[in-house]
Amino acid sequence: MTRWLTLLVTLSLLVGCGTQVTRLDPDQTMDLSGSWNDTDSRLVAEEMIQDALSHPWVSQFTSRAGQAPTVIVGTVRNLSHEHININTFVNDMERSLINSGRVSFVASSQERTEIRQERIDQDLNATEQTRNAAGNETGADFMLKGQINTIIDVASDDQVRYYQVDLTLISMKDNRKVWLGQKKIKKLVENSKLRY
Amino acid sequence: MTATALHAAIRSSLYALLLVGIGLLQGCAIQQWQSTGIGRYLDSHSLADTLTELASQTPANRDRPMYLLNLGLVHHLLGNYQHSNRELEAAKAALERVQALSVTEGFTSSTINETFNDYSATPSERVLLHVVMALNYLALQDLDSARVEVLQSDVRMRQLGDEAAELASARFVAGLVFELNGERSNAMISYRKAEQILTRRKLAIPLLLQDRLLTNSRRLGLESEYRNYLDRFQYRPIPLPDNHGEVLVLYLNGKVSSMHQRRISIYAPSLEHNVTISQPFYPPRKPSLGAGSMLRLGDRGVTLELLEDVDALAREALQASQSKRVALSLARVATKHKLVKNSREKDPLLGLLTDLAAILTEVADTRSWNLLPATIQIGTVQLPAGTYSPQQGSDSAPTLVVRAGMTQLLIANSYGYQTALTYN
Repeated sequence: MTRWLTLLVTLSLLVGCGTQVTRLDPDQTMDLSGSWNDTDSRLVAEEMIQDALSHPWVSQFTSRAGQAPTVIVGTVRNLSHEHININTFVNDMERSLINSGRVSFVASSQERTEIRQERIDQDLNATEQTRNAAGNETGADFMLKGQINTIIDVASDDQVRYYQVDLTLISMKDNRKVWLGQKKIKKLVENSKLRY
Repeated sequence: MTATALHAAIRSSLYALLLVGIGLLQGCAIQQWQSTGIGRYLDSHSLADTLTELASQTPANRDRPMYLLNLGLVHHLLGNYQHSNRELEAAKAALERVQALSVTEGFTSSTINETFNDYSATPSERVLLHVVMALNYLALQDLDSARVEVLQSDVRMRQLGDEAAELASARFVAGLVFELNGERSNAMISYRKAEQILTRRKLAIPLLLQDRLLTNSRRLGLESEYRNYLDRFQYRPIPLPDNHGEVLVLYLNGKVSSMHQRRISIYAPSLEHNVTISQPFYPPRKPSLGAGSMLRLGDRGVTLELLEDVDALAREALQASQSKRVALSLARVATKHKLVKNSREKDPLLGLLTDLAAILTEVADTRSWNLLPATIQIGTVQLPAGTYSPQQGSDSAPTLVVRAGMTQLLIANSYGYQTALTYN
C-alpha cells in the first residue's frame, strides 16, 4: 500500500514538473524581469496620446482648416539601455490616435514604399476603372516624433530603472512644435540573491 | 528473509549504487571535456566545421551559457551577425538566471567537484558579450541597437564594480558608436576611459585611440585636454590627402588559451587512503600573443596595435579565483576523507569503492568562453580611393570599397572574415 502511495505521489510530482501554459488577459499587468514590457508600451502610449489630444492644437487646426488634422508617426528612437520593440509602441500610439476619432492618420514612410509599389503595379496591370492612380495621397499635417531614454542606477544585484519617453508633435507646414509630451516610469528591480 | 541475508542485500545494493554513481559522475566529466574541447577542435578545423560541431552538441543545462557564448561568437566570426545576436541574447538571459548564489552548488562544490555548477562567466566575459553584440549590430547597420549594447556594457561594468571587468575594448567600441551617432561628448568620455584603463594596465595607447582623443578633444573645444594629449602622444592627426579615404580597423585576433586540468593524487599514510586535488591551469602563454599584427588589404598593409589582451584577462580571472578554489578543494578533501573512513568501518569493499569514487570525482572546472579572440587590435590607414581585395584565406569575404573623403570601419578577424561600414 505504502509502495503504491509513494509511486502515486512521485508520478504527481513529475507531472507537475512539465511545461505549463496559462493564458492571460492582454491587458493584465505582468512584470517578470523589470524590463520594458507590453504594459509599459500600452500605458505610455494611451496616456501620452490622451494628453496630446487634450491640448489646443487639435481644435485650433480644425477651426482653421475646417477638418480634422492628419498625423503621421515619424521616427521614435530607442536611446535606452534595453532592446525595446519600438514597433509595438508606435502601433499602440497609432491605435490610440485613430480610436480617438479626432485625427486622421496616414501611413508612415516605410509603409508608403510598399503601397507605392502596388500603385505602379496597378498602373501597369489593373483595369482603368479599378486602378488607383498616383498623386492622390493625403499629406500629413503633423508628424509625431520621439525617443525613449533611460537612466540606470545599479548596486550589486539591485537596479533602479528610470524611463523617460519624450514625444513631439511638429507642424509639417512650418516646423513649429505644437505639443511636447513626456512620460516617466521608475522601477526598482531586486534580483534574487539566492537560488536553489 | 533473515537479518544476514537482508544485510548482504543492502550491501550489494550500496555497491551497485556506488558503481552507478561513479559511472554517472565520470559521464559528467566526459561531458565537460566535450564542451571545453571545442577550443581544441577549432585549432585543427575550420570555423564552418566548428559551427557544425557545435550545432551537433547537446550541452547540459549547467554548460548552456558557455555553449551559447561559443555558438554566438562563431556565428559572429563567420559574419552571421543576426544568428550571433540571437545566440548571445539567449546567453545573456541564461547568465542572468545563474547570477544568484546557489545553495545546491555550494553543497556540490564542497563535496563532489565544481563541474556541477552552472557556468556563470567571468566578469570580463560578461562585458565582452556586449562588445561582440555591439559589433554585430554595427555590422548590421543598426546603430540604435549597437548603442543599447554599449549602454548595457557600461551598466554591467558598474554593476560588477571590478577593475578586471573594466575593458578598454568596451569603452573604445562605445566611443565609436557614440561618434557614429553624433554624440561627441559621450564619445570623448568613452575614449578617455579607454585610455585610462590602458594606462592603468601599463599598455601602450594605440595610435587610433590617440587619434580619436586628439580629434574629439579639439572638436569639443577642450583646449587644455587637447594640449595635454599633444604633449603625451608623439602622434599627430594627418589630414586626409586628396582622393584618399580612411579605414579604421577593429580586428579580433587568434583564440584565447584553453584551460587544462592538473590532478595530483597521493596516498596519505596517516589517513590510510588517497588524497586527490584537481586544479585548472593555463599552459604557458605564447610569447607573440600580445604583439601587434599586420592586416593585408590587397597590396597594402594596416599596422594593428593591441587594444585588449583577452588571453591575459582570462588568466587574471583564473588567478583571482584561486583562493576560493583551493578552499573548496580542501573542503572536499575533508568531506571525502570522512566518507571513506565511515565506509571502510562498515565494509572494506565499500571503503575501497568510496575511495575510488573520491579520486575519480575530483575533476577541475576547466570551462571558459574558450573561443574568444586572444587579442582585440585596432589600426587606421589612409588609402587611395578604390577597391581592395579581401584578406588571404577567405575568398568569400566582401571587397573593401574605399571612397575619397570617407571613413570606413572595418570589423575583421584572423579567420579571414570582415565587414565594412561607412563611418561618416
